[in-house]
Amino acid sequence: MSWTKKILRVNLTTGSCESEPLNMEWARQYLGQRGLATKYLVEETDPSVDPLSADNKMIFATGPLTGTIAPTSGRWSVVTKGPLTGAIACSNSGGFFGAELKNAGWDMIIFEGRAEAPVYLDINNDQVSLKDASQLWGTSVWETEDKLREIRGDDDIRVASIGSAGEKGVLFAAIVNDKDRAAGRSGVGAVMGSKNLKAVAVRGTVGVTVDDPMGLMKASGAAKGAISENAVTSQGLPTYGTQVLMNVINELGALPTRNATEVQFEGAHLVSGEAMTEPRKSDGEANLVSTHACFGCPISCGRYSKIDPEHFTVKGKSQYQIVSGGLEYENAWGLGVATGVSDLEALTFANFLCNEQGLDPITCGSTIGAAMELYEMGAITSEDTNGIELEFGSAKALVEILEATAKGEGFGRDIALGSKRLCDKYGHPELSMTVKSQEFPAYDPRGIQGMGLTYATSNRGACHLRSYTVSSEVLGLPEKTDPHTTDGKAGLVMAFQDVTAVVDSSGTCIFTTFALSLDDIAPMVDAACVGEWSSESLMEVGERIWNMERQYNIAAGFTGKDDTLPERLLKDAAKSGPAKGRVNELDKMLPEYYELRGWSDDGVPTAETLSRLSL
Amino acid sequence: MNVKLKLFASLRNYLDVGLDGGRVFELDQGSSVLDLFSEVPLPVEEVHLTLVNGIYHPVEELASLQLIEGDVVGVWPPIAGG
Repeated sequence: MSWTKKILRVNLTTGSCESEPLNMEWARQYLGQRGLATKYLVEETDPSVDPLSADNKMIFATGPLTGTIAPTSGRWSVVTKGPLTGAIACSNSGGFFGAELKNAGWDMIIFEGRAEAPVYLDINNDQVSLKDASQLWGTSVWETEDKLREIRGDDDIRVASIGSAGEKGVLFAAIVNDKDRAAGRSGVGAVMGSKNLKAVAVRGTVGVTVDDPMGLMKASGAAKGAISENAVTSQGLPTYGTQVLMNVINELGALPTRNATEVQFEGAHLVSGEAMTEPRKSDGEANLVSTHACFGCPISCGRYSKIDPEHFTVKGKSQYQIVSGGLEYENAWGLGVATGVSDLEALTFANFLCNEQGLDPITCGSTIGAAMELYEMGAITSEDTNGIELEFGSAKALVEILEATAKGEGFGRDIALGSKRLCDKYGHPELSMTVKSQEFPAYDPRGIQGMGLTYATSNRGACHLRSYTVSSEVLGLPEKTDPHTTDGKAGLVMAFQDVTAVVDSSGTCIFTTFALSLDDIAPMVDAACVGEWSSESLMEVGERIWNMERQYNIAAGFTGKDDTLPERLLKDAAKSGPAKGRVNELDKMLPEYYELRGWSDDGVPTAETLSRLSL
Repeated sequence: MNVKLKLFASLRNYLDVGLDGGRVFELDQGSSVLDLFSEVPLPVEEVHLTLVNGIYHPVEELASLQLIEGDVVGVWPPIAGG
């Protein structure tokens, strides 16, 4: 129980939608969501598949706690082979869509093949069908959600869809649900677009049953108590959201600025969480309107914002003079700091565009930052950019190029490739701030050493959410480590990776781990699911998932040589702040990491490791 | 000596500061971080993260940590992000 034990298999080529039983043996080994969906992908697809071909599959997956009373149980994931990276892609989202899918009676949807013409999947509990989406194709995420509610005549449906970015094959297109929550990274939206699948609309009233309801109430109550007693999850995140980090990371000298040419941004305070609450000089209103929580979440880290109606980005455009998903730390960093733009209203508009048209703001902002560096050094000219003066710090250029990218027009078509392909095209591969072709996010590994190893070894390309050692190295959770040293970081990264793999497979949010340990999470899983689950057995699940993803990538052609960082982080020392003079010392951490993982010197899991993990 | 104190997030309420959070205080030579806090006054129990020139110092060190001319002290309540 807790799993619905039902999978929906949708063949977009033939139009069939079939129910089949969940493989419970795999559920016991891989739990759900990220782990279980990856197991299905591994078993059903060739890792060498072209990510945008009909042979690639795309899986929408919930976890066993999704849709239950466990705190933060709104999580769901999209698992596929990523077109940006060519590696395993698993993008995790919140909101309400995942819980609705689970309440409709489905653990997962496996999409295979490709529809001949645009379709959307319509789910009303066990009534499922593919429907013509020709009227929706070409509309934004926001319009699609509104139109589907109108078509269904039901305001309570939940929708996950792609905007123009996914339709046009932007390699970092996102899948957006509930208008401002996104499975954002690795280009999962481009895979959806390649399948001619515009949206999934779901209404679920079946409910979720669990193995031990009283046990789950007790364990969830304890977890909620811990979250409410923890100052970070009860005060810090609700009050300022993730954006409170902007000033912290800047003071720490670990804020990658202007395509990581610097590690501190003089405009950080102007685009911070504090700035979002400050009344504007222009109209006396604050950018931040309210906080926002996902399904079953007592933390409420989400932001709702409204742009100054007189700001140049929205003046005369009533569709953007609304309250909508506001800036979070990564978005403000990617769209602002990586590009040197310190106009808070412009960044909020850029973020609206990313939500509206389905773009990953991290890769998008970092790629525009790389293009700005190419422009300033003369490697691209205004002839290439169709007249856009792509200078660092230009809010006007940021907005213009972002709109062109979403629409697949002009130089936007080059931005749509991501920075790796863009910088290769213009002869400067060294300017791409990527690992495995995916842009790294808002923490500079020259100032936070563990994040270098995190990025280098992340199975989905550079990412902070595969092992958020910032928690330990900066925030002191669960215990403080020195961000400038490499000692102990291999073990720290490995532990964070395995715990995160568990949480990402459970149906709950990684932000609970600021207050909860696996000792708090395991009793919820144990009560909800059949079988015996402990923190020890969950850690083994996490390690198994990590190694399975690694094996997939090796089969897809990756080697230990891909576990590296952009040369800039390894050779160009930080120019200012407490990390001044430092580079990332990846070479001091990686061999120990391989050894702790039970991998060979070149990063391949040994037969003994695979056997121990039943892989 | 002059030392800059920067208060962030909810701690900004203790000092009427702009968005960069900072104000310069003139302190006696040998003053500690806690001496600086008492100038505000800033309740130490609300302090979670203290960076002196960007370097972390645990709360228990703040009483004995002597400041020098030009130091910048950044202070936050319990926070996190991602």
